Amino acid sequence: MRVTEKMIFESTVAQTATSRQNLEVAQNEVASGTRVQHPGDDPVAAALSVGHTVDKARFAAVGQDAQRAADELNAADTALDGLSTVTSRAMEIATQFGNDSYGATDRATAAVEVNGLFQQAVGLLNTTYGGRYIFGGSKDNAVPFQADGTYVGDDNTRTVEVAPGLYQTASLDANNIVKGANGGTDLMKTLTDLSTALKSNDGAGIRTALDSVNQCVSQIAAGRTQAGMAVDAFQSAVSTASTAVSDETVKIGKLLDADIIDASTRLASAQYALNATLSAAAKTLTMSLADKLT
Amino acid sequence: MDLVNIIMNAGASLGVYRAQVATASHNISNANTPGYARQDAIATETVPAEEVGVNGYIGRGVTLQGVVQNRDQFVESQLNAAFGNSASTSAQADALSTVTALDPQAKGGITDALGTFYSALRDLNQNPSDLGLRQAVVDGAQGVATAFNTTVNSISNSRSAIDQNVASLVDKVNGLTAAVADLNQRIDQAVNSGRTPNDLLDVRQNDLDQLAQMIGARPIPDDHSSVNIVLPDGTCLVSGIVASKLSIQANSSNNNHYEIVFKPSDGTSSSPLKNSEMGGQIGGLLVSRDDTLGKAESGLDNLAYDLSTTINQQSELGYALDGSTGHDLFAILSAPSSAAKNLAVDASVSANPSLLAAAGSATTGPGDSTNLQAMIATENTPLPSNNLNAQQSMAKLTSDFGIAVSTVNDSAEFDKNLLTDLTNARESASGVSVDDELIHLTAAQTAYNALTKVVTTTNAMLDALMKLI
Repeated sequence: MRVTEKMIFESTVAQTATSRQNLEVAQNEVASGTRVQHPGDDPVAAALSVGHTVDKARFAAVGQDAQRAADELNAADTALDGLSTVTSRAMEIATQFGNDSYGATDRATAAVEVNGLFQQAVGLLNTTYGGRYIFGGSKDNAVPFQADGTYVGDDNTRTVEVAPGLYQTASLDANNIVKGANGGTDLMKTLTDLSTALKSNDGAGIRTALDSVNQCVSQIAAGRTQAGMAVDAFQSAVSTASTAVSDETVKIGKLLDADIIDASTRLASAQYALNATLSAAAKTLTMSLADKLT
Repeated sequence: MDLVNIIMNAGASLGVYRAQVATASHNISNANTPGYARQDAIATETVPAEEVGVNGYIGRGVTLQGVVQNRDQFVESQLNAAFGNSASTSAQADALSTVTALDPQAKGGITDALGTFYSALRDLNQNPSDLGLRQAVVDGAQGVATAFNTTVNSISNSRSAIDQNVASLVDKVNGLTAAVADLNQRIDQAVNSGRTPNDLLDVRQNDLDQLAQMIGARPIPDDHSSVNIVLPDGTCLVSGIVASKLSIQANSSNNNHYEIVFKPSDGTSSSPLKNSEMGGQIGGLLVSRDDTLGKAESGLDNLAYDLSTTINQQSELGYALDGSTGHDLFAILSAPSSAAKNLAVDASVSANPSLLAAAGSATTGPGDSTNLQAMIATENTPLPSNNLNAQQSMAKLTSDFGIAVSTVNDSAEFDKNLLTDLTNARESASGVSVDDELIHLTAAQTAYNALTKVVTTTNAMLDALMKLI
């Protein structure tokens, strides 16, 4: 092939441009740590990264909300723990003053304590977490237990995801656990009955109330078990979600991030190629017959 | 042959070498001129030779046969298509590589916004009556709307920028076609008067190369010395010495993007050209604008419309904190067209997040999130236009765009390499080698010097002869 000076010039320009472009690509990868900056760089990786990015956000949200649900259930469990203390004390009083050796005065004094326990229970059952009443069911914006023990919440329970699309109960049904709505025993009524029996020096009534308190203790224990199991489920979800977020991060990294060693090697190679291109050009461009003719 | 004829012949031959030196000088001067084809001053023996004796002939020197261009027609015939193809794919690659709206790691992109929005819904599900979390959902929905607005605006701006580029190129094409028509006339005149206008041919060839690059135009030589110019579909831009014109006009059925209109030189009615009827830069830019970017834009419109409609349908079934129902989360869009641009959060919900329809019943309390959970489930709901969910739709959009860019990048690289090979072949056949020309110059100079010696020697012989008289 006949080679002209213009071919050499243009070839030099093209080769230098290619070397500089390769250098720029490698330099960008090393500097940004990103291999796929534009969908055209790797369409499959770019498309897959969309799914993993959304999945990562989804798992992060599931984990965060599961943690909040677990925290709220722990608050509910703490309230039920307090309620257990209340019922234990009520049981002690009922056991002690169910004995007819106690007179009306002693029992009236005990009734005052039971009234205090009643108020304590109402306070515990009106516990708020995050600004809402956790024993109110879906009616969580108002006090669920009135001062007389009437329940004005509902028996709806909330559910929170433990995995995308898979929901776990995240609240306790106070209407069932405390008010015994489904054939159980109403704690508030039991405490009221106990107080009334103590005030009226009704030994038989006190002993009847003791049986009811025992049933309430069982209901509350069952409620705490339910809360504990739910907390376990949510803690497990938090752990799983955290692992999933890490996995998704790794997957996104594998798809989009630069292999720094590979990119650095290509950067060095591109630098070498550009250097060689410039050196070759410098030598070739100076060769002309015009310099030799005298 | 007498001595005077020898001097006369030598004098005539000197003119040939002067022409060769002039041609070499012209070649060297134009060594870097685009479109220039190396010229040769062709020398041939002067005939007839003078007959002497019985079987002897004495030559009469050298004659300039002509000055011709060096062009390889086989290479030239392939170069035109290569110019058009390379310009087309390069224009597409350049146009698409600047579109960053669908970059996988772009912050504030649709993918991020979708993730944030559904995360906000999940957070609200944990505490549906919390006004702060309700506001976060509204903000998340606004983020989705903004991401769609921004992304589609970015693509739309790229398409508009292509319009401006095409408009500028159309002006240049009109200038070039007029120039070729004029050159056809001048070349015809020169050829008809028996001359070969090499330099005019070079200028015309350069114009033809540019027309191939700009619009993929093909030259078709006529029976004389003119070339007609046609577009890839056969539309004739230049017929002999008459050039037709192209113009641009807004196309209302394509978001007022420009279309190119062909105005025939015979005054008949103008007609818009289809994108497929053009090649080169203009054809490539129009394909990028209406095919790759157009599909991305309509894909975003469909996704915005389907997603907002699906979420709204579920939202309308739910109940707000005040027990009212029928609320949309997003402002209702009438049709997919321009949906991504117009996507916005419903004004009433935006102003009052308590209207967010989280509850599944009017009678339940504010902690009910039944409908909210159904809204969260819409992230996996297949959308009407493509039976894919929002995340899959976005992945497909990204993939389709990425594959289009990757394919056109590969094509551009291939076409560029092919064009480089062919331009090298053209340069090899038609280009000027300064070294060659210096050698030609030296050869002509040597011959010229030798001929002057012939003249002085013959003249000395004549002097000697005269002294005998």
